[in-house]
Amino acid sequence: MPERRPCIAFVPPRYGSEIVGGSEAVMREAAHGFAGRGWDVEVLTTCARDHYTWHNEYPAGTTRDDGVLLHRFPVANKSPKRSRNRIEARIQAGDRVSFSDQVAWLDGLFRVPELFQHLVMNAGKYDALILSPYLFWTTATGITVAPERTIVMPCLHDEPYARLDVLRPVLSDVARLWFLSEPEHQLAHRCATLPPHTVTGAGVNVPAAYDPDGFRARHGLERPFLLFAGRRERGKGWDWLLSAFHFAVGQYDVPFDLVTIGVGPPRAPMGDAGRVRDLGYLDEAEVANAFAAAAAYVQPSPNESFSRTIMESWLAGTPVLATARSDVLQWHCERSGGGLTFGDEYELAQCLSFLAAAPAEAARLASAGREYVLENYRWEVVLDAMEAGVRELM
Amino acid sequence: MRILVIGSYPPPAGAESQQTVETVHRLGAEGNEVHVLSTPGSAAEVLGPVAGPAGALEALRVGRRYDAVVVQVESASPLRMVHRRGARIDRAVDCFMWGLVLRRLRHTTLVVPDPDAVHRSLGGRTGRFLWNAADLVIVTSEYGRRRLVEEGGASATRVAILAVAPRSGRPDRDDWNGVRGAPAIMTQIRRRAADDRRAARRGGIVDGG
Repeated sequence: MPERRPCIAFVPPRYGSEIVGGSEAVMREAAHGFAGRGWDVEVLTTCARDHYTWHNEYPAGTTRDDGVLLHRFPVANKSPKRSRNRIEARIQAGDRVSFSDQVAWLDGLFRVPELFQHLVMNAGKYDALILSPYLFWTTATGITVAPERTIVMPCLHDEPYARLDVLRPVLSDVARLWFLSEPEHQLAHRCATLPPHTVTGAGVNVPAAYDPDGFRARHGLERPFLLFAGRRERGKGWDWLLSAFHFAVGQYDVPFDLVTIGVGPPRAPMGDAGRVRDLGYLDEAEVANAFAAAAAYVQPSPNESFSRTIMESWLAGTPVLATARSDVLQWHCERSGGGLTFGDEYELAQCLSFLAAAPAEAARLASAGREYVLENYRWEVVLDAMEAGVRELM
Repeated sequence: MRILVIGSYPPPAGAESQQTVETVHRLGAEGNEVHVLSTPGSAAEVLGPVAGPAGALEALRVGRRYDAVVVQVESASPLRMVHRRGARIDRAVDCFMWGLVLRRLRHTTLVVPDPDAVHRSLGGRTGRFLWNAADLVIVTSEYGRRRLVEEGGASATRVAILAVAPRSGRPDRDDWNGVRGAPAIMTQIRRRAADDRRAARRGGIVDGG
């Protein structure tokens, strides 16, 4: 009788190559990485694509995504209720929120009862369940099914949600935690008593080649530009970046445009219309070309547990400018010697001034960043750490 | 002009009290007679509450004697930082009281160095009542102006940005000659940004208002 292959389930709230989001990308690539190493891998996820509406956009059912068996389940309540918005406002304001209100908040965004039912009925066949990120219904409920075989990759940010009682079991009552960076690990210690855990990091794919000149030509980009990639949301620092860029252009006469790729309305101020370009959603290869073509990548988001985009930028040989409000970004920049950080618009303007005046030195910084990524965050390195963690549970 | 500045004041010399020091310095340099109302224990000439309804009443009592009143908007004043149940009501009361008091005083200014530091949201009906009660609201960045106008409901014509010292021309290659390695570059960036910030605070208001 042939020996049974080890079987593992990944449970992200959204899944797909076109989903924009750090934890979603890490879960998807890790799932394929495990499949490539001979594991039976299943992905249990929702039919939602958009994390604002949670509408069911993908068909429910089971399909194959390369070597991965993909189960999609429909989201039950697809639009957040007004009462949830009120609780959300209180959480954001740092008010004390009762446990029942926390449950209502968690429940009110989206629920996937069929996914939970599948987990309950089939948990026995999985050697391990991997859930991420920490703050969604799929994770908060999924950990209760087989906690002794559950690994959570929290993707924790220093935000009010991280200290909610309803989410504390996600950090404390599971078999193992995987952290993406040391500052995230330290933050988790401040939020809960932790089970065994590892700082695995997240892997990034190393493109075989880049086409920066072709990218500029295809998109009509003639001037040097700064790149912002990801979700255009206030929480990701986009609004702040627009203002700070306006300030730097107006007061320091820096010679850069700002190019953005990703999702969400860019809302560039009228006066900056010519200097801010939105290229929308791009496929993976074109994203890599965008990084290679940029004069620098700007990461203004204080809410990062890893930041894949700065790794992609360094891999492409492009310097990184990152907000000092994120411990994670500071940590990467200091460890690698490959990035500069800014605390406010004056410091960002000075970073841009440096970039314009000393491109050779900026390229040297990017080169140090590339070495840092290749040494620490190639998928082979990260998968070794993840696989060892899973085998300890078996 | 006799001006009363209300806000936190050293000691200790934290970031917010430093903002008040810079406001006092800037107004004094323009030839004004400036006094500070701050909490007991501080180095201010006038001591009293600066937050909540008690602070508002004190501002009214003391501020009447001045030609102009400047209120520094910080994390815990003039709107109290309250976490207990009923905090929303306290917040509404604070906004309403300070809005009324600012309407009773002459030449009032709210200085908002960092809108992200303001406890709870900027908006709501009472928030709008507060931001539109002052003759002028000063912010330090376009970001601050956008947040106060779009979220706080402040009238765009009342909100002004503290000017940054104008720079001459494009970044100069010589500026960065010999600066090698991330730590040295970061030291230079922070030093130069601090110089620019100081110059901006000395520069007065040039944008809006």
